[in-house]
Amino acid sequence: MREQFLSNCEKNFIKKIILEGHRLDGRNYDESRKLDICFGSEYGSCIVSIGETKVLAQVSCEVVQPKQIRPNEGILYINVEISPMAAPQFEANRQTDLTVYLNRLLEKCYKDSKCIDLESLCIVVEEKVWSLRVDLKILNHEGNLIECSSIATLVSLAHFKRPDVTRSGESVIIHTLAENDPIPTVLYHYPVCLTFAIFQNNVLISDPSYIEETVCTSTTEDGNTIGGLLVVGMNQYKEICLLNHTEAAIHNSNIVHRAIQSAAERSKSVVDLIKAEIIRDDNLRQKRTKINFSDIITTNHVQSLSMKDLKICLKNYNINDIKMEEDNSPTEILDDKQDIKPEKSKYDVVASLPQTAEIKAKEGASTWIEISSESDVDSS
Amino acid sequence: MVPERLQDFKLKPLKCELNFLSKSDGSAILSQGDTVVLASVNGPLDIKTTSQNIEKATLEVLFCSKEGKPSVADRFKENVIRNTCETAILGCLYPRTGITLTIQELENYGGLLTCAVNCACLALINSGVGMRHVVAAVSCAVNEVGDLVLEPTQQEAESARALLYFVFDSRDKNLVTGFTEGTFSEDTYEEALVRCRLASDFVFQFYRDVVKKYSNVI
Repeated sequence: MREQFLSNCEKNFIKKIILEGHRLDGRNYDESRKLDICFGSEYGSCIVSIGETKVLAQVSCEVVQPKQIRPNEGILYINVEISPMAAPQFEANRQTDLTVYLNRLLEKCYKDSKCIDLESLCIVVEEKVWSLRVDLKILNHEGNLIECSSIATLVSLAHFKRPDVTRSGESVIIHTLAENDPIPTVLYHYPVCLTFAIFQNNVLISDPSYIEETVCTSTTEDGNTIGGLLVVGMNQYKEICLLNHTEAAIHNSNIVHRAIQSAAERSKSVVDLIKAEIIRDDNLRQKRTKINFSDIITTNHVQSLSMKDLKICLKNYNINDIKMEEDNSPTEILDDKQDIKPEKSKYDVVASLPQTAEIKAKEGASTWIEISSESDVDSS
Repeated sequence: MVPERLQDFKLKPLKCELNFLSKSDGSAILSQGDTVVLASVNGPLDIKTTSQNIEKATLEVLFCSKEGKPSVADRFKENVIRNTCETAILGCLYPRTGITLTIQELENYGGLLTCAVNCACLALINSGVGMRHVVAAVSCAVNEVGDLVLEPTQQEAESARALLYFVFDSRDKNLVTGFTEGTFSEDTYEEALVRCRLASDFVFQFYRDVVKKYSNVI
């Protein structure tokens, strides 16, 4: 299926509210969605979600021959796959520009920044080295894939442990996980890619959602691009590992500075969270607690439009406040409404679920379109 | 004798969540014991004219394993799931369209294929695509002694003499798909078929419970 295009109306609305200081989901400019990490049963498997964007990462390893130019270094390979599961517009087994772009960004961030000690992956020089392969599967695309997949890569690499190896003369023995404790990967620093959407060269938005990303990279009616996406790769020491910018050019360097400052704060908090989660998981594993992806199946999240998923939020609208009012005097509110509006509207706003409301057409035939035969009779 | 027989019908604990993904028309995550599978359904949607069918909807199935490159084993699973689901979907309602079914393996501790079929069925129910019937997959192993083991674990499956997979429909409990690995006698096959058919009732009951739970909020 082709990608669904945004209408001019939607584009202009989003642009307008963002320039006025609002966002569709009620966040502030520098506020990110909730970051959630959960681990699978194997080492190096995790699902990272930012809001509703979900990415599955799995690290696997095998012994291979090293590259000729780097005989004493292991190999890191990153592979991103976007299946129709992420969104209907993606086709199966086809490389799109987005996959190539994501792959290259992640390679820049994790291979070229030399955050992994590749030399420690060497077993026999010029003969045997470990090759790590990170497989990323995009499960749900709700915007900011770059940040989500970069965190997933980092978490899975930090969580991964490879089997122990001993050398006896010419032969190399790879021990199973039960025989010898596996060895964790050595990471010198933890770089994270953070995405910012720039609107009209002055508004900086962190963690853009799908609709914000699309509006940002689209063109207006007069042919100008609204803004661009800026990716900042930064580690916990506030060192920049990667800068990438797409779409409209930036006129003032001030905005890049602001992005970097904002990224410095966020990268620190993300890395702290990742480290804390990995330590927590390690402690659970030492206590022989079973960790499995089945833990993410919960029953407290039944409805598709639950509070967590409510896509459009208003800043001054608190769901809990509204609930209270409704509980106290539901009849009064209804009476008030009727007093103010003696002329009844054709539609009723009915509270369907605790947090939502729906518009229902009133009973009876519509009086909107009146088919009158009188005029016909008159003319004839 | 009776308690033993009851034990034979034990299936692994099932756990399911619908609407796991926001972008898909229907999605389900299902765990059968320690095996976990995620499935998403999109459709009916427009597809390339070359793959359109003027009589019914084209079902495209994609099975993604957790790691490594796509393999022949994945293609085999796709084939089984496609053939099974094609009989279940009322494709004639949506001519010239495509329905895509994507299945992602999350954990594999044996019984991946049965879990994938059941999860695909739940995702199809969630997507609201018209269906003739729902399907339930049950697997069974013949161990070295010759006893039947329902829903074998990975170790049991590896040491088993034969593996038998059955998929039943919900209306008359007819066999929709059946395939086997290894050697076994004709009587064993018959007995395994009867036992799995009885066990499929539990899966259908589980579907009913899941749908009941979600139906009053969707």
